[in-house]
Amino acid sequence: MSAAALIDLSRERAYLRDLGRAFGGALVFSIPLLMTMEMWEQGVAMDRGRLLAFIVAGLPLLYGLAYYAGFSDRRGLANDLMDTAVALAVGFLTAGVLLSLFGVVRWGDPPREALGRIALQAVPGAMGALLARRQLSGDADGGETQEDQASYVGELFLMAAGALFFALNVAPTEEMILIAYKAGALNVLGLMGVSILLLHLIVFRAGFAGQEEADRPAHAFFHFTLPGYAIALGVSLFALFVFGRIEGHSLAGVVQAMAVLGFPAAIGAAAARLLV
Amino acid sequence: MNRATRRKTAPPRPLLQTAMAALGGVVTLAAVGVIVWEAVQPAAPATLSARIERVETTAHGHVAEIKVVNDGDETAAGVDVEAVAGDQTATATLDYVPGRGHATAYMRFDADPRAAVVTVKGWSAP
Repeated sequence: MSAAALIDLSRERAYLRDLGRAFGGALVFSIPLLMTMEMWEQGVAMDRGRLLAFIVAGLPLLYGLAYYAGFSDRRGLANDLMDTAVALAVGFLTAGVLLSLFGVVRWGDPPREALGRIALQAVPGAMGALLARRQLSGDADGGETQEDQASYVGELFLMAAGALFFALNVAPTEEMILIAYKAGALNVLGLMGVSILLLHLIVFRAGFAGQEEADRPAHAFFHFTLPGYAIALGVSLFALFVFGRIEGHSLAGVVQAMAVLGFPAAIGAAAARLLV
Repeated sequence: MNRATRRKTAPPRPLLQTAMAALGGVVTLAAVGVIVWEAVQPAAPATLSARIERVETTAHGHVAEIKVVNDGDETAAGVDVEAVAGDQTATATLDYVPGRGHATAYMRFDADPRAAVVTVKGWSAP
């Protein structure tokens, strides 16, 4: 095969556009995290077992996003796997370049420090890259992805992705734990009630529930809202664990922090259809 | 069109996609490998030492650049460093000194602090 046949410039150019969209998605999602001091500190101080848990748990999530959303038109197992790997490359490059530009990662830093800071930011960046088609595509068919035909389990997966999308943006900050300290038991109960109510309303009005569920709000509540809230709480607990925010807390303290982070996570789960 | 049909008719893959996917795979596996290696190492507690690297003379006194080195594996947070030169004592706090890493603090003295005694007073777990 000649080199000309091997390298089809128009095909490469079209993929370059997809790649540009992926970098755009990574930026949109990860800039708040890249500019959050706690994320830089966590990259250095985080227990390596937890960092590993975060990256390893992120891989199937990224594959799921490549399947349901992705940033290129191509589909299929091999392509979704490649999109996942490309998204990780985009995440690492975006985090590496921006953290260097911000002066957070500097030449001569101990490798452990630089690697921790970049690797921690690469997964959220890759998430953003895989959501790029949904967020940034101007094509008429830009929104038509596997997500539109997601099964019930797929819908729950997308809720988890939406919950993580929101929870990740606030979980590393001191404020999460501070709110949990400031809020009393009644405040937390109220916050849980509001989380469930908003989750139900958003799912009902703009989210997963189709016309059939819209006619049966009680069915939608048990089918989407309650499982969605449980997922949001689970994602919150995982995020708090990863960022070491529940260490040294009693069970009541852990539940309180989980419910506080569960609020943005529930909104993210409900808005997954809009975000993901 | 279903997925299977699309796969059959899919055009050849762009080289750029293959190259970026390879880059992503290699970087991710390398990062995971290094983090696993770090995670399984027996972690020595933070071991901190401090010394004066350089002294700059300015219009407002002498500024000592203090290098704090952590020879342990665990990261130290809120590291308090103190330097005593004659009758003057200066202090500084470093947010973090990473395991097997270093951080830099600056202290101001009226007199030349080259002979100052620099000590790390304490730190907390991050």
